[in-house]
Amino acid sequence: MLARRSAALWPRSLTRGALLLATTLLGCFDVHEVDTSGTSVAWPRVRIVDDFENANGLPTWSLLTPWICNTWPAPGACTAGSADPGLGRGRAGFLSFDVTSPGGAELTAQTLVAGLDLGRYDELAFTATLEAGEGGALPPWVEVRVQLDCPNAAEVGFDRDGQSVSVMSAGSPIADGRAQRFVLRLASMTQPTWQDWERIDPRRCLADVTALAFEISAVGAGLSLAGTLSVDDVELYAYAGGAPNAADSRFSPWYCFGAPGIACDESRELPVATFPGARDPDLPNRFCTDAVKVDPIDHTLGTDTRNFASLGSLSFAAHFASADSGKTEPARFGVRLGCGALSAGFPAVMREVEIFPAWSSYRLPIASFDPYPYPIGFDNVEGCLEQVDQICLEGLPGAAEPAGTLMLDELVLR
Amino acid sequence: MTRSLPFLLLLSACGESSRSPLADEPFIPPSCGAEPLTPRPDADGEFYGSETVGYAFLGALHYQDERSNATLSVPQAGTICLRGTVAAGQFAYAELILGLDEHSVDGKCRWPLLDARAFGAASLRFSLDEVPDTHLFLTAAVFQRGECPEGEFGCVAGGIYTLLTPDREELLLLHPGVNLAPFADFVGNELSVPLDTSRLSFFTLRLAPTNRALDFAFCLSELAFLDAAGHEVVPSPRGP
Repeated sequence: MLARRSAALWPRSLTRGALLLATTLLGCFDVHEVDTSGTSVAWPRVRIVDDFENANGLPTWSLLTPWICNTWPAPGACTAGSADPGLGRGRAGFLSFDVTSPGGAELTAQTLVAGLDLGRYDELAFTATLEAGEGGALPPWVEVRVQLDCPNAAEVGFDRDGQSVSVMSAGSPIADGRAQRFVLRLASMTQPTWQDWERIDPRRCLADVTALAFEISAVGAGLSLAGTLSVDDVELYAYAGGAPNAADSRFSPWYCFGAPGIACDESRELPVATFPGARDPDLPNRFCTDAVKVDPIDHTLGTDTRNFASLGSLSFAAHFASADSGKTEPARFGVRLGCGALSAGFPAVMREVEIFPAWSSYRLPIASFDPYPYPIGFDNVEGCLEQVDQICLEGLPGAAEPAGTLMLDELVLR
Repeated sequence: MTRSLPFLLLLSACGESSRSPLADEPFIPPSCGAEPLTPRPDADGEFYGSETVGYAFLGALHYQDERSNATLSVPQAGTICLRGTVAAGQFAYAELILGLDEHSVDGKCRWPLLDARAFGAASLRFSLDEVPDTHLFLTAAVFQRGECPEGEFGCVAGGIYTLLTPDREELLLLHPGVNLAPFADFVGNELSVPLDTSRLSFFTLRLAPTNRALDFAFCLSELAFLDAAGHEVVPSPRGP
């Protein structure tokens, strides 16, 4: 997954009193009165296509068949499956191939229903590694193409060889075994020019997809293509306001980590985290999003930082449903702005906010953030605000963590 | 670079439109050239028997892979069991077919066709003793108009609906115990075209393919139609 970085360890010896931060409770307002004149933080809702964790090969998205491989022009020069370890955690899908260009190989899954409407999504993200076969090398311009078949979008969906009309886009992983994450904009996918028997509307294709494939191919003739492509965490992203442009402020899907009881649901329209109310003393429960950027040329996803020092405030809407249904008072959380690129030890700044059971909006002046207690001695608030790479909500250091479900909306920077 | 599932290929062999019919279109019965759907043993072993349980007839079949097999049994009245092995891969699977009431639709041919709307059915209910170690899901086939000379499944080409979750994002996976299949949650080629319950032909309990050979065994019982209020309703007496 996207940089799920480890949290700083919490020294057990610090007293609760020493951990408490200077706090200011701000007024809360009806969510419908939120001033959205600033820059909205764009994060996607996630549809997991496959995390390859099912040993039976069943994709996470139940509407898909297991992945298989094909090669061309000669069939059968490939193997496919899933293997442990994957790219970062658990299992990953793999495609081992041995073909000669202009041939290629693909790892493909079909739909179990007539067609999937992927037009509801903005981007396709996946993590990939590419490694040459033993003792060999892959051409530097080898591509990993994502192809979406949509025969129902055409009057003649297949050519005489049974190849479907489709749209595709490509990433170019470096064939050094290093995992890279790619984010492809679906609206930028186009029909390959060789599909000359019928031209289709790419939007119509996205609305009726019957197969998804990762293809390996290279330009040129007589080149040996032998190696293994590993794929993991294939996800579809949908943004409330459409996919952000390269220059827009972009954040990752919200994710959470900490004690086993913390759980996130990143598939919903609004990010949701359930806090267990108990935590590992060395690892706080956090609900986070990371600043990220997508390279407009090779479509790789990378970490990013944002300068919050020049901003006036951070606003968001939230509500917290306590696990104790009879509890009506607000829950105390900390809003943590991480700046891990600044120095070692995951420095950050934080301020407290009390989140009410009913949807309310909160505006936090940037100037009200204080140094996070760890790493001990860190006090460069200004420097941290200039390089914010992560926004989190978590229980206050040293305080009892609220138990319940936190839901967020409309995060705006002004 | 990819192929359609063989089941879908077979269905589309008739050359019919891939779109679902409108519910108010006049019903045109099938050509008598097609064989009725009743499962029956044949020389190739494609079908594994025919049993009657109440008003439904049931059968099992599998496709395209000699390493797959399925056997049907009726251990007691009202219970039907399917067991066997499905080979690995996208194109091997097994399914239990719940063919519906056979009617003579044109005075000559008998064909599985049930007007569930006529007796107020809004869902199908049944029990499973267990489920295989893969996705087990339900599809419904709607009888399409037109001729289907190339085979019995041609008459439902384009009329396959899959039971999805209410948000239509996932298969509704069948589970041990009582399963309820609301007709409103079956989705076909076009999301906006609802299942035409006046032309139901058969349901299938289908094992999703996996990437390793899978032994399976499960039994279905307590099959019933329910109305919108959840009360059991029964079809009208059979036609001629």
